[in-house]
Amino acid sequence: MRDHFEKLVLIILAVMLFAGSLILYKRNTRPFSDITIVQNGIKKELTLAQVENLLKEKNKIDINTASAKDLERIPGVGAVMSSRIVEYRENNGSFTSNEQLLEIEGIGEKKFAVIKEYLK
Amino acid sequence: MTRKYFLPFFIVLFLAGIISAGVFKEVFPLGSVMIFAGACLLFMFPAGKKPVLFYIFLGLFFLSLGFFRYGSSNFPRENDISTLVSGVREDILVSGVVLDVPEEKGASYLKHTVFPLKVEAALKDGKTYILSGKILVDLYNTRENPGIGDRLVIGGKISLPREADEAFSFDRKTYLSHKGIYSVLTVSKTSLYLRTGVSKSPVYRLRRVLERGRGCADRVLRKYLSGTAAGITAAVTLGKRGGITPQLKALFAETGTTHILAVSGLHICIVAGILAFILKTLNVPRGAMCFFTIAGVLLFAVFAGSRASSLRAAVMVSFAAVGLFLDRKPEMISLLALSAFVITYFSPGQLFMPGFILSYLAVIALVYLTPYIDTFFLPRRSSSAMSFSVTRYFAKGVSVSCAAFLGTMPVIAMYFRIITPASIIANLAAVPILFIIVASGLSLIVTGLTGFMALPAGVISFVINAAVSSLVAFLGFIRSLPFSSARVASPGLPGVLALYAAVFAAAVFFFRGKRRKVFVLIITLVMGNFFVWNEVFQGPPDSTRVTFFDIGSADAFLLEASDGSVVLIDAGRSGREGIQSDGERVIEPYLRQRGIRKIDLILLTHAHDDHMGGLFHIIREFDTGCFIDGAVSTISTDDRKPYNRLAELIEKKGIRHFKVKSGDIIEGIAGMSFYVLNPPEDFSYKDPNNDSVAIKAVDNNGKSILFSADVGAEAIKGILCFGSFLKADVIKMPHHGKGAYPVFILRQFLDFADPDEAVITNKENGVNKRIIEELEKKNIDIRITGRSGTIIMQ
Repeated sequence: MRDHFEKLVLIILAVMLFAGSLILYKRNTRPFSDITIVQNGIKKELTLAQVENLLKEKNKIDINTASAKDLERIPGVGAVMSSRIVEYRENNGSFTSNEQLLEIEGIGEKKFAVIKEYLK
Repeated sequence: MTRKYFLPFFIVLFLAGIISAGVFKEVFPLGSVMIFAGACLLFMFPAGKKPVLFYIFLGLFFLSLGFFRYGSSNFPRENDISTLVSGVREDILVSGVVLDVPEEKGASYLKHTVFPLKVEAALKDGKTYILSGKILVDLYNTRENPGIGDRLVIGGKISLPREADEAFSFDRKTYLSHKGIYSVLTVSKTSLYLRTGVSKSPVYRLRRVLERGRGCADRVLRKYLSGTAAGITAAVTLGKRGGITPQLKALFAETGTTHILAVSGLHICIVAGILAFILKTLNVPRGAMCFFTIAGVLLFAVFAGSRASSLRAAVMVSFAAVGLFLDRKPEMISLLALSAFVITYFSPGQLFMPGFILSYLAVIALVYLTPYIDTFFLPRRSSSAMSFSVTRYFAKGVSVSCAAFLGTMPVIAMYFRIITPASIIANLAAVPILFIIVASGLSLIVTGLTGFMALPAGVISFVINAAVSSLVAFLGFIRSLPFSSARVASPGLPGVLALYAAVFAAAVFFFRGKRRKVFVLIITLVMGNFFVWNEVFQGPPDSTRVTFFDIGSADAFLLEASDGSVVLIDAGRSGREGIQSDGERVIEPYLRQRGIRKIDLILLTHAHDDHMGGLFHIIREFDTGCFIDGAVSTISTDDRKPYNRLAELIEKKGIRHFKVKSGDIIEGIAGMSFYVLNPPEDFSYKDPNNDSVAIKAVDNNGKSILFSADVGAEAIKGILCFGSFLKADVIKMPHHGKGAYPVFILRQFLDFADPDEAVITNKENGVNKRIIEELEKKNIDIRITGRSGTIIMQ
């Protein structure tokens, strides 16, 4: 009786080992995925010029939401001028147009012409 | 329960107490209560009649003793230095005493010395603290190494040791905590390093003398031997492993003979045997013989570096010697239990060291498993009393070797992820040769130091050189045979414990006579099944799984598809002398652990070392189907040589090599598509970073990840042309979160991508703060690999 039982156990174990090894063998010898390159499969939405413009636009400063530090990024606007702009905004409320900047001390026609490029 | 198992049983309870304290750390107070209760109740029983209850409480006593011992020596005290750690790598000044012989690691400009320091005081953030505890010091590049017992004042950065994470195979934190060390101090070249004196304590004095002695012995060896011979002889007689190259280590590891290189049980036994033989021929009385053998063995263990493995073996052999002297045929099991008790009582953390576990497993297997395996190789009850044939010894050797292999294989697989059937044959030769090397090495040292010429040094050196060369050659041959070793996924601790329980149960069940053969067959089949099915169940994930490896400021990403396809994007840094490449150290073990043996696609974004370096090892070790890199690719002069080597390797292995440019789609991997966004098709940015391959990976559930390699502002402008196509769930931030590109470009990139999460492959403090600000502004989840370890997304 015992002998039969042991034989059975041995056979089951051997079969399991064989099955597991087979699974691993199949897994490790499966063929590689067949890689292909599809040329020009993606269409670009924007040209480089459009991107540059977009960036320029996005980079433009909104004089109503800009902090003094943001304003200083504009060439020609220093610490003093930016604080004046902020002060003006606080006293007189939001700017309704960029031209209002001309009312600030230190910003004349020439200066404004330069700054205008960087404003929304 | 028979008498002989009495003592071992209670000692096992002691060990169990240690283990529970180590595992269930919070239950430490309970241990103290139990030990107190146990001790009290012990006294309640008068001498004489000992009811069952007594034994139960005795058992509880040992259990709680183990608990308590671990708790009192392995938990950080309240004023342990590690309590000062509050962030990541902060500056601190520490004063203390060097506890152990410093070890040298690494090479050339990355050479560093590691040693434990017993802390006395510390200065941090302007405040002084009187503390205790031990800290591991990592000392980079000083000209002089500290000696044991030196008093030092050193400045450096203190941090907690690295924990295990998904891909980091070595859990430094737990390893050090078992040694009572909970923090690490990194001392750079420019930090303060002062030797303020030397500890006067006799223990340190003795050890310093010993160290000088060891140094002299080492110089003797180097005078007469060279290269590999010197390195191996120094390792097996003096415990100095500096001369063992990584290649040599690998040779021994892959043939299952690593134990030869560290002074452990085998070496101690050899020395004990030599001593006993000498004393016997000198007709020394038994008592003196026993005494001198034990003294000699302990002295040797200390002389050979006082490593845990040597001391442990010395204790075991001493107990055996005492037992032999007392004429009681020593019950192996009691000897083992007693020596384990002594060692773990004084150093409970030892119980968790792989070396400790393997030593005891090996001895238990040698003693108790060999009789079972004998039934295969030895004729039953050798009726021919003429038992001195070579075949018989050979057969016995094979039997012993098999037993050791079976007994230690599961634990070795668990810790080192390797199975080495080759060890069965390798050890047959390695052990006798080791005997020759140890005996000759020691006599060479004695000859060189004392001038007492038993044999001319030249003769001894010749013998050693011959022995070492033949050993290395033989091991090399064994390693080259098929099925000599296999790297496997590490089975978990529960699995290994279950396996040993099964072996034990079967051993008891099949105890008698020829049924032992059945035992061996069954056990071999059970183990075979265990490892095979362990790997089967590591199989492919249910949905696409992406792993972002934590390798500092370097890139490596693994994508696994549910049908078993595997894609690797970049592979981190190359290695240098003494340091493995990221491919070898992190990526390979991870792949093995996940049951991956071949890679369908390797994508190299650009030829910088922190992306390309690890690829050499990976391509050598794993079958690769296809290799893709950028069509337009600037390669700097420094990188040209390695890149060409890589290209040659790829060609030699017959791997398909494609080049991609912006606009291409990589198809073929089931469940994944890769859309190439960079480099542009008609011109080059003349810069490896801007020319790196950036892709958007999409799986068939629609989940997408932007892998933006190392692109800079110029390249990003070009990528922005894809507009809303850039929308993805996750973005891997360009260039490890460094790079000061204009904010508005970054903002536009994030606007188009609009991810939920951003992954940055860098150390915590290497990331540009502005980038973090912008990410936080858009409420994007930031995952930094240096902070959270390897990141895995399904």
